[in-house]
Amino acid sequence: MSELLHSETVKVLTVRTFLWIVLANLGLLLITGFFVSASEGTLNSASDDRGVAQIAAVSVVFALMGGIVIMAGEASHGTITQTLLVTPVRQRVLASKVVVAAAVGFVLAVVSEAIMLLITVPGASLDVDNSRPVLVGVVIAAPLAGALGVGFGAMVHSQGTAIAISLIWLLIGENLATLVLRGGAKYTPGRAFAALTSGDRTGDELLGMLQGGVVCVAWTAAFLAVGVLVLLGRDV
Amino acid sequence: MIEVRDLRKQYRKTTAVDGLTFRVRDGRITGFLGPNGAGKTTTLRILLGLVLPSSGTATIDGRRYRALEDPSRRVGAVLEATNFHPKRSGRNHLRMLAAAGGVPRARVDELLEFVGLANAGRRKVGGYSLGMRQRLSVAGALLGDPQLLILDEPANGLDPEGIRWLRDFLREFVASGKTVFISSHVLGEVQQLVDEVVIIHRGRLVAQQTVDELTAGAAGRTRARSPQAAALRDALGRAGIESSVEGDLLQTAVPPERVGEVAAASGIVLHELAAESTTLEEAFLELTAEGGIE
Repeated sequence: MSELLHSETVKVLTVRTFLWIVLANLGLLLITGFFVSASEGTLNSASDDRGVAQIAAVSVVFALMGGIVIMAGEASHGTITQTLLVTPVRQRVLASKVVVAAAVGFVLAVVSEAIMLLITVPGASLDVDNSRPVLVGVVIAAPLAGALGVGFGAMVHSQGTAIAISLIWLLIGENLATLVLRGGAKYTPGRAFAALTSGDRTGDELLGMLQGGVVCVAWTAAFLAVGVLVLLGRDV
Repeated sequence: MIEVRDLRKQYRKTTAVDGLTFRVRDGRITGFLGPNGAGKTTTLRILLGLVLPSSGTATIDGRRYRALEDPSRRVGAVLEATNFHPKRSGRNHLRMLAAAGGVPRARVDELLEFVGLANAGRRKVGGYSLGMRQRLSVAGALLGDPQLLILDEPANGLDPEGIRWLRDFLREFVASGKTVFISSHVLGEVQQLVDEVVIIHRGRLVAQQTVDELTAGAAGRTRARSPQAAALRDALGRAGIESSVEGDLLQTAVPPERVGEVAAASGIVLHELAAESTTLEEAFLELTAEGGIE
């Protein structure tokens, strides 16, 4: 397994796609962080602190993209053929990709949080104690999103299509689900991840942080299970 | 040894492989021939565990590819020359394969040198020519120093020098006791290279023979060209030899030496006297025109 993890790490580090993902993540954070610092000046409540800290949750979306690229990128470029020739047991390939995607998500989350704190603690007097639940939630959510991305990438097979579907779902599908499912919309993937990174802000729209975390794990497991089945039955 | 038994692959309404059975013996070069769409690539991909068969088996040393313990050290495969990330360098492509197969990194540079890509190793594969990609594919296949090489149309995109390099390399590879199974539609190239051929058409086996057996169909036949072809036919007839004449061309089933003796004894002028042989291409075309067709 260590050889496979090494190989997957080499793949991530030898193309610029992931550099662009990191830069886009950091760029968005820097712009948002500076905007908050410039406009807020001082945060007045724990809820405000958590709201600002939650900006780091953008790393969850980039971790999802990273997971999709790690899995579906191989199919799009045809390198999956070479990968499966060296490691024909497909479950092992998927497992190694899950580990690396989760690691990428973790790194994105930690770096995002560090940058947010560097900007907003002095800039907007962000209280780190108040923000802690959000920071913990993001660090858990981003690796899960990376793993979910691998499962989704295995299902869809095309990198561009998988990214497009996931963005359309997050931007439009989640809102439509709210209209259709009403109370049940709390359990959609986007809202479950939002709950996990909310720092237990109470409200009717989201589950609690712990419940959200459980639903995130369930969605990740479901996408991975379907991804494995699709990968096992697919001709390459 | 490769063994394919009753292999069948159905894609919805299309039957790509239809009850195919053959064996490839170790220590030789076996050609895998067939027209486009005959099922060669599908068969190779099933053999390599990339495509699932509808029924039947394809095994290497009695085991499915997925069940091989260390597949990259047993089998090296050269498939399409498009299976690369265009933004990754050739060297990094090999590094990622070497890492997965537990192959030392030094082997990567060794193979880049071997396939003639040492100077291009750090360039992105997107800038490689088709021939360079084929060479990179060969390097990837050799990373684990395998005992068996499976190549799907490896001469595609190679210039004449590259083809010669590949041919020499494959001969050396087999000379060291290893095995090559190579699909190709460049029949002239295959004829110079392989010991045996497996010919398929419409997913079915048409022939499995040595090249000598396959091209021996016309062995012993003679073609003679003479302004006195009719007189030569009569002279041969008097010697008990049957022949046919069309214009100035005479054909018969005896060797050229015998025809020459009869012509000389009869004072007949010959403009051409040659033994007839069947090329692999002729045999292939004949077999795929009639053999195994529904």
